[in-house]
Amino acid sequence: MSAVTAQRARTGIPSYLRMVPKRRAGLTAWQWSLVFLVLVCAAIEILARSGVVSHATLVPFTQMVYEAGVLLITPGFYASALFPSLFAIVVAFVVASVLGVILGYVIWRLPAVRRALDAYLTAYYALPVFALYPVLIAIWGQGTAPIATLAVIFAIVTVIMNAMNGFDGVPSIVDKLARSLDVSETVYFLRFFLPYALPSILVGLRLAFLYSLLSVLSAEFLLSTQGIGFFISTSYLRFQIGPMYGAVIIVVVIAVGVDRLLALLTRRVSWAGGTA
Amino acid sequence: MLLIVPVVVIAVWWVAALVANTSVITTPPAAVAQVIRMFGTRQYLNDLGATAQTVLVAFAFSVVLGAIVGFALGIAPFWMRAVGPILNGLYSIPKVTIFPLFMVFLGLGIVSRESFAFAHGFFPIAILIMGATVNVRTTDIYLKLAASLEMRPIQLVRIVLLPAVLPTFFTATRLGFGLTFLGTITAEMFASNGGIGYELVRAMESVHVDQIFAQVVLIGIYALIPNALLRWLEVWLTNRRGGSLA
Amino acid sequence: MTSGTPRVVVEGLGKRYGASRVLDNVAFTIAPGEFVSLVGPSGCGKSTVLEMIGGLREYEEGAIVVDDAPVVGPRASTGIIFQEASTLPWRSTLDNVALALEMRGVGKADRRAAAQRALDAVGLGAFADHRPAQLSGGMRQRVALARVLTIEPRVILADEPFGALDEQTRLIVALELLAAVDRTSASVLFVTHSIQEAALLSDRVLIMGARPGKIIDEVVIDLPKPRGPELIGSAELSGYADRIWAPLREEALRALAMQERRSE
Repeated sequence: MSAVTAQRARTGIPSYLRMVPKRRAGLTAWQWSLVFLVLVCAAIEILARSGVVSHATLVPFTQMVYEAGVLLITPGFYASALFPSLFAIVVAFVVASVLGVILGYVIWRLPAVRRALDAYLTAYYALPVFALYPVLIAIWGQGTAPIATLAVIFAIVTVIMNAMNGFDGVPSIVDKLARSLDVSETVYFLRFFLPYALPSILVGLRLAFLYSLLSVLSAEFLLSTQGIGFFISTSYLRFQIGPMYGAVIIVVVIAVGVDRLLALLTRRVSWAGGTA
Repeated sequence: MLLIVPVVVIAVWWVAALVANTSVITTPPAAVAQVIRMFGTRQYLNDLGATAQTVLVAFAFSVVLGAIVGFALGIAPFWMRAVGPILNGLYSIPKVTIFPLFMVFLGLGIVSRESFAFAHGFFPIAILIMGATVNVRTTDIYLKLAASLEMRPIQLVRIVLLPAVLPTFFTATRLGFGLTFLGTITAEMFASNGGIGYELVRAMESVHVDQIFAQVVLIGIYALIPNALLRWLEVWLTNRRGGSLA
Repeated sequence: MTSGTPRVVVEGLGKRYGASRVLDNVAFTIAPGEFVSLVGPSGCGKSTVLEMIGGLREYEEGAIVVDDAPVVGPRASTGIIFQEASTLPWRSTLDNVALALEMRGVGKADRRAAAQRALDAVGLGAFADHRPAQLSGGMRQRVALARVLTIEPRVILADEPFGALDEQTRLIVALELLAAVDRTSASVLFVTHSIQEAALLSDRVLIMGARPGKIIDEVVIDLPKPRGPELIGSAELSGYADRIWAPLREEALRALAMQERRSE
């Protein structure tokens, strides 16, 4: 062996091997999350009220919440902004989800097709699919149809990819079990196959919701006459930043809320521990 | 094999164009002709340059900051549990909704667009790298091995954590490019007076169908080429290190 | 074979987990150059004891002394072979073996030469440039052994290193480990749940019971060294295996009775 190295005075178990503490400075991780959120809201409040950031730019957090409340009790907001957007988002989400799972299954069953499509599916989200929006308007004119269609086109690929991922993970024993019980194709798919793939499918659905939301709002922002995106855009252009922030808060709550819900659902459904 | 999809897409497109009105859908040859015409103009080349600059700056920042933040949180599982959900929450907010905020705070210039595009790339990169890092960081066998060899924490990072996370870093980088590109185009479409996105919006508003299709095709190509390049880079680096990176 | 002061001393080692006692007054010694096995049912705490001796786990009750110094953390002179493959997938086999010396600051050429010698000693010299993923499970554990050998350890701790191998392979590979280790002067603590393995390799077998974990018996294996494959299935080995099994059978029956009582 080479030269004797000085005996490094190293005692104790290394820090990285020790158990992760449940608390830091007396607070749990979850409580720290709340602390950070509260600090940000407080910062917004103080910066806005003190005038450090101009009133034309930032509005106190409490006022943002108030504006959101005002909008939520204004029937006009529901009719011209909230419902059109939600309708488009929900329709697109449902269509993308159902069609995506079915298409995913079809492609998964045809390995040759899957191989041909694979490189493009993974590169799909580099494409600004959004750019097709004008084409869709040219075909359908203004309204919900082009917006929802665009959202479906945008969201469906992640459903397909994650569904195929889920189908990959179904152990072959399931097929053997079903065959030994002699079940029909539909029953097999719904009762045996799908539950195994469900966690991955839900991951895809969660992303599909986010992409539908993103797509719809972007389209409304750009070339529309209704919807929340349109509302935010016009509020900005009319220097009505109070209502603008209010609408932003509503969108944030919807986005984060539904996302968290789907995340929880995914965890509840991840019963297959290791294989899923 | 790889070309089947583009061929099919072009075929479907061509048929659709012939079936529908050509004032609604251009035929592929007409689109190509328009592309050639566009590249001949100084205006388009300027736009291309402006977009490229925005994308590259936003991309660089989102990769560097995303990797640093993601890695730092992944090493400290406690803070990952504290900050992770906030990152996830911010990621789930469609940046488009807060686009006016970017304009309000940062104006209408290139910095505003770069920041917007940066926001698109930063969160997914940070989240992906954070996830991969925490996975290695909590793999008992590596930690026990390191401890038994008296590895200092800094050595654990260099010898175990960084190499283990490298493959995810590459995946995140490719994803990040696509997203910052998307963010840039979006920003240019909404509020700009230059760049490819702006050109697209102008074509949309004047319903210049040839232009629209030409732009869309080009944007698609711009998105795919760097993706392929980054993939080749990854493969080349992998082979240089002699085999799998993972 | 044994001489002078023991190299490893464990005294009154205990551990609680909440209200229940996991380890109770575990005590034994290992002489220089001695090969001691620790057998017991799953969950009896034998891996915990090994990790405590290796300085990877804290202990509040009792004392562990290696080479006259109390164990407070991992030690350069103690090599550990873990249950799972501890090879880093992104490094070549050679660089995996060289890792231990790399942590000591040994230069690249020197440590690679030492690593090659260690790989030769365990019969994997030709695989130096392979990736761990290209090796079988048994081969990866031999790589882990080679890594331990490069540091010329005073104590080797092996935690069920052959758990993932099938019966025939594991006994053959186990004999190879014994041969490699015998060429050094290291003391070995070998944790296993295979009674055959323990009897085949060791000078002494410590038998551990569960809930709480404690040493319930000890069997000295008086078979001639070097041990060879001809011993497998032999009458002498079976005799020792029976003697090790007897107290374990009592333990197993007792544990079963306790479980049945609890589920009533």
